Parts: sequence; structure tokens; C-alpha cells
Amino acid sequence: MKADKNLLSGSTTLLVLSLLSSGDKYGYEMIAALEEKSDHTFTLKEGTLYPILHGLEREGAVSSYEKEAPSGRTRKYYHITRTGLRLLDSKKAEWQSFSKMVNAIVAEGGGALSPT
Amino acid sequence: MPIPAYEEFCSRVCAHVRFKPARAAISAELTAHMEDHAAALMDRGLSPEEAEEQAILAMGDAGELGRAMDALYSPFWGCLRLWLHRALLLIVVLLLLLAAGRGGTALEEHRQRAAAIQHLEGQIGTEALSALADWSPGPVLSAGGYTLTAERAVLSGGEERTLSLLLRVRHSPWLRDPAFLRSLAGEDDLGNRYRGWYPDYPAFWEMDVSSAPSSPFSTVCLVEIRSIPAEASTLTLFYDRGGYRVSFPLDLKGGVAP
Repeated sequence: MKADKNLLSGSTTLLVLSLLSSGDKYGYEMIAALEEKSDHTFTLKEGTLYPILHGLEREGAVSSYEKEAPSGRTRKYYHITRTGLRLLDSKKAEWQSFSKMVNAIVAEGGGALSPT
Repeated sequence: MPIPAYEEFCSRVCAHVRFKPARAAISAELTAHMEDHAAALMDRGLSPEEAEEQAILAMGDAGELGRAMDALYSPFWGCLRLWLHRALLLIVVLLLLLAAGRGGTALEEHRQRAAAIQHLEGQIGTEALSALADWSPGPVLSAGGYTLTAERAVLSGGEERTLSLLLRVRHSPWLRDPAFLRSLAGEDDLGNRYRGWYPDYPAFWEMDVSSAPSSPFSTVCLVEIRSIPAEASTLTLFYDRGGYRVSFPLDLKGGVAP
């Protein structure tokens, strides 16, 4: 099942920071990891990753460096900074509170809409 | 070698990025991403053409991506950051040059001092038999950003004496060369006046100022005051021009006068 893109777009920063918290990665590596971890549920337009990464870099949440791959291709790696780790914590808390609220509403509704 | 289809996609993205210096890095990163994706697809069995096409499609809308990047790279802030970076770099380079210049200046000062002392030693040598006193008066005057130090003084001769003074003037590099050295005059405690560089001056006392090469921070010169009567015990050097007068006395018996 593919995830609703609107659900995904609000949490891409959280996903990117989470992926980077386990180690430095380059752009395509993040996309591949995201797909693999979500069993191909999360597929975002790959270009949208870069405005997020560049924005996080501007905020100081990530830093970047270039490294040559064995194939000779130069890749830009991203590294999560301390500011990024703090941002990740706050995004996680935000997400947990949001999902708890959604779960509560969904559970209360019993999965059916009734006319008033 | 860049694939034309990737280049075309990147130029459609970058057409929206108004801050031109950011375009090359954005293109390089997007191209690397598409190459990585295409390589992964080829590993799964797709042909290079199919992989290339899918890698580009997976990127999404070039215009949307370009506009999002443009929002991050505002031309105003981008240019400001670029110029601030350049200004910072320039300041660092200037500081390094200044530091290197100071090092060079210190060496040059050392060389000047060595040359001037050698010259003075040579003079002492010729008048060794009649050297009466040899001392280091030290800093004697500080005014207007200049510090004048009499590094060495040698009094020689018999009935008529010669005072050889090794003078150093230290000053900030933005101050003019201490041309006032050429306007220094002297007067002993008997009332005799000594003046250099004025051939038509009525006094018959002599003062020669031979300047060594100067650095931006200091000037060394050898001053010789000749024909000083043996009876004189103090000599006062002074600068007196345009209502500005500074002076310092030297004890001819070997020291700075109180």
C-alpha cells in the first residue's frame, strides 16, 4: 500500500533527520534507505529531498562534505549536527503527540461517520 | 561524461534559481543523485536508457524543485554572504601580509642596526686613542607618535671633541618619515650652537646626519656633532620649528643629563 503523499510531506524533515541520526548519508542513499525501511511504502519525489537538506544545512541542523565513491563519482554526504539532534528530538515529540491525538480521534470515531 | 538528459533536467531546475553562484553545486548534486539512481536500476536489470528515464522521472517536477531551491538561495542574502565571505578572506590575507611584513621589518631593523653599529665601531676605531666615553643613553624622547632612542653615544677627541650618536626613531607605519632629524639642532652648556644641513648658517659648529635605509617602523641614523669644546659638560639636542619645541639633554661625561 502506498502512503498518502500529504501524510508524508509533513514529516519528511523528521524522516531525513532520523535517517541521518544512524550515520552520514548521500542523497540517493537516503531515498533507498527510506524505501527499504518502509518496505517501499514511502516513495517521495526524490527532488524534494534537496530543498529539505539545503534548508536543514542553512539552519545548522546538518553539515555536508564531498567524498569520492569507488566508481569515481563525487557524492555529497550529509551529517547530522548537535543542533540537528536537538531538532530531531523536538520533531519526534511533536510527531508522537500528533499521532497520539490522531489515534485517539480515530479510536473514538470507531471507524465510521454518523450523520448528525 | 554528463548525460544530456540529466543536464537538461538540471538546467530546467536552475533556470528558477536566481542566485547564479549556487547553480553549479545544485546541478552537480542532482546529477550525482540521478546517476546513483540509474546505476541502482541497471543493477536490477533495466537498460541504460530506461534507467536514465526513470531516474529523471523519479526526481519530480523540475520547476517545483527549482522554485523551492530559489526560495533557499535568495539573491540578496546570497550576494551578501558571498561578499562578506570575500571581505573576511581579504582581511585574513591582509593580516597575514602585515604579520609577514612585521617579520621582514624586524629583520630589516636588525640589519640596519648592525650596519649602523658597524659604521660607528669603525669611527670609534679611528678615534680609539682619543675615545673618552662610550655609553648607551637609551630612550630620550617620545612625542607625536615618534620615540627617539640614543642607542649608543661615543665622545672622542682632545681639545675639540666629537660626539657620535646612534639614533633610532620608532614610529607607526602611517606616520611620515622622521624628517625632523634633519632639523635637529644642538646647544651646549657654554652657549655654542650646532646645526646640520645649513651651509649658510653662521655657526661654524657641525652636525652631520647620515641616515641609514629606513623601514616602515623605524629609522636609524648616525649623528656626529663636531668641534665641541672640551669645557662643555652638557649638550642639549632640540627640535624647534613652527612653535613646536622638544629637547633632550645629554651629559657629555657619559650619560643622560638629569
